[in-house]
Amino acid sequence: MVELQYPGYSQVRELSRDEIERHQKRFTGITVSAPGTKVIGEDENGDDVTEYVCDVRVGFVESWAIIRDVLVNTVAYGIIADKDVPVLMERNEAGRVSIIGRSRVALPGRESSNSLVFSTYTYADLDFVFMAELTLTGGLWKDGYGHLMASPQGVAGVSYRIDFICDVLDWNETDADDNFDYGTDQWGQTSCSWNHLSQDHIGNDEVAIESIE
Amino acid sequence: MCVGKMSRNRFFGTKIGQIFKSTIRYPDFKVFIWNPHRTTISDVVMGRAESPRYDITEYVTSIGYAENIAFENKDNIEYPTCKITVVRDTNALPIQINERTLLDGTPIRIVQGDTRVPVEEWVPVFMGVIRGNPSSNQFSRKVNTGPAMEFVAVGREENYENSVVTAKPFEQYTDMGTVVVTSAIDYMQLDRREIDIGYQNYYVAHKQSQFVDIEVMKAMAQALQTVFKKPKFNSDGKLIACDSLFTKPPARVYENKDLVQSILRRQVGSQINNSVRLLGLRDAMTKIIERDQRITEGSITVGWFRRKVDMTVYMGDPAGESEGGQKVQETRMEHDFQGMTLGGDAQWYPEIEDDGYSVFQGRLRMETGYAPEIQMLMLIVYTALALEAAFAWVAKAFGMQGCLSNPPCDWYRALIGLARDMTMVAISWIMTRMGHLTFEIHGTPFQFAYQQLAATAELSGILTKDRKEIEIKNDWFYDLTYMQNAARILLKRELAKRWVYDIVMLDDALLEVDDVIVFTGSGVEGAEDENDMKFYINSIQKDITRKSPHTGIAKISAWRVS
Repeated sequence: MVELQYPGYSQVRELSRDEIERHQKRFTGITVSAPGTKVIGEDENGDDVTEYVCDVRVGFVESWAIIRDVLVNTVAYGIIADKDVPVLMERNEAGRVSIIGRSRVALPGRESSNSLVFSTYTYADLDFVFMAELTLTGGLWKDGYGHLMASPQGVAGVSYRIDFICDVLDWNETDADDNFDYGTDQWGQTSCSWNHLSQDHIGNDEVAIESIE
Repeated sequence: MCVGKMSRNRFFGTKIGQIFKSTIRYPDFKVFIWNPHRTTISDVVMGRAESPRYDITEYVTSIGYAENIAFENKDNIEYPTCKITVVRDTNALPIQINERTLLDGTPIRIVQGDTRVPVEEWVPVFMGVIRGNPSSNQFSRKVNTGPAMEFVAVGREENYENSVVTAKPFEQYTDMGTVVVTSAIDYMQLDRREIDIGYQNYYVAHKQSQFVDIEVMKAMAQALQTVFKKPKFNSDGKLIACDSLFTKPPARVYENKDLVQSILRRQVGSQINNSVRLLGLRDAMTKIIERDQRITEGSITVGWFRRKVDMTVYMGDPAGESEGGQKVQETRMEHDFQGMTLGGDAQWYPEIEDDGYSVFQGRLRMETGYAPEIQMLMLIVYTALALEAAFAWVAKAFGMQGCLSNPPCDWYRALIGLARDMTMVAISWIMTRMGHLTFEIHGTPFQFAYQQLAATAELSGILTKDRKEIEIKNDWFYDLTYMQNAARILLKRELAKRWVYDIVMLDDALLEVDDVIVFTGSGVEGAEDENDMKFYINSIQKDITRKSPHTGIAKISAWRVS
């Protein structure tokens, strides 16, 4: 038997949704640095294998935090340790980049009481290779236009995607709403951000951002 | 083939099976009917019909056969239909062909074959009943209208479209096959021999499970979804659990496209679901505890002569079964004697259930704090003062000698009266106030419930605004790990619906909806069909006729799955 503490009387069926909404309200904004590349290992020929990385700043009602070198397509868990809110950056097979906050939305109670599981799959994961929009040629993932893309990856875990997303369709600075402007100011004023970002990443187009839905 | 319990897999390897995979054909068909006044479709299926079988093939001009996939997304019950054109002939043999023989409910069977093979070896492709009265042109100014009639025959599913399971419970650990079979027997009135479904090795896990007020076919579809199957009547007329997995063995592997006239990939002009949220129900009961809160409240007022109160206080809902119903634990009482206690006290005694912590009710015991002696003393004092005042009044009224009639004694009399009245006021005040208790019972309500489980499978990298999620709720799912895989399978199904192919090919009577077929690759580098192409059939349409150019051509709609 699993015990749940304080979920709200007679709301069992709505627990999942409620919990997600509760988390959602805590987010105020998210900012992303320009993408860069980072060596993540070597291939069989001894050549460097690089992946796109970004820095991500996640704003909450209570505070904010910066996560360095978030691999595009990779979940970076424990960014904000006390809140246990990881952020996922994904580049889909069409080349778009999305930033997805994922929370380990275990229902209140013990860890074993998890009732939600969230998984994402690439076409390859689903054995639908013929549907894939990217092809692997010479160790590189390319789209139909010949552009280099990050390798598609699926994610599975006991977590649930919180329904906010930062959509970076291109890498130019994007207008955003008031909340975001406020967040940008904060971003610039922090000692660990602006210059560091500029040094670490190619392109140096600072922040492509969007608001929270 | 529709892996499961098939009517057509018995033809694999047979001569007719080989013919339908070849390009040399002499196609033919037969249409049989039975007298609905003498038999039922159940009897026909079980081979015990009292009516003779009537061959009306000679009078059938054409058959438009259509079969679509059932139970996709909207719980739609689909059934094969045949639009049959016949020549009206009242002198026909062995029976006349008119509206008096082609009656509503007439059992009808269609078989397809080849003239080189005996009819007994042909493939049954349809078993159903005629619906409604045949349409017939009564008068027309056009020439050559002919004595044609048209009628529609439908598959057996149609008969059960509106059959409802009022309530059917299942015991824990019942196999899902048993769930389906017993439901079909009880609510479709099928004989066990009409049901070709066995154990599914998936068990009812919840302590209490039942179908309630649901169409029987939909109920069975929900139950069978747990093992990725669907209820369906095969072309022998038997109820089967049809496998719906893309990974099932292909019904046919075509090593070339000799049979194919065309394969067209059709654009689906709408957004397809790219996320599946599967909802289930955990089988273990979950204890849901609320915050500590006030459960109930009240007040008690007792009078002078009642010092003790012993009453039962109920909270929440009445006690029900060991599961369900609101219960409270860790109860306590907060109370107030409205300022004066004088030794008054109130106690809360929760009545704890056998489980050691559940509380539905308790006893509240209160004492005003009045000692009986004090009560009696106040009563005596009041009585004495009242008598004294009465004596003083009598003495004065009758002019009796003594201090009572003297002016100083007027003061004495007034003081006695005042003391008496104050005593009465005190008694009255105490009676109303000191016996007044307000109380609140606090505790933590809790209940047991099956917790909802949610497994979401989504295509990687979908943005929120691009996400189109389908929510599938099926309380027969209870294991989150199993559901994770199920959600993945369902996601594949949704994604495949974006890759629809129209295949026009020589009719292969062994194929039916929910079959998987494979065309081996062309091997041409860069060609779309360079590798094998695997399809899942979702509809079949064909004209079974002697008229060219439609003879022996089938139009298949299929999802590409590999």
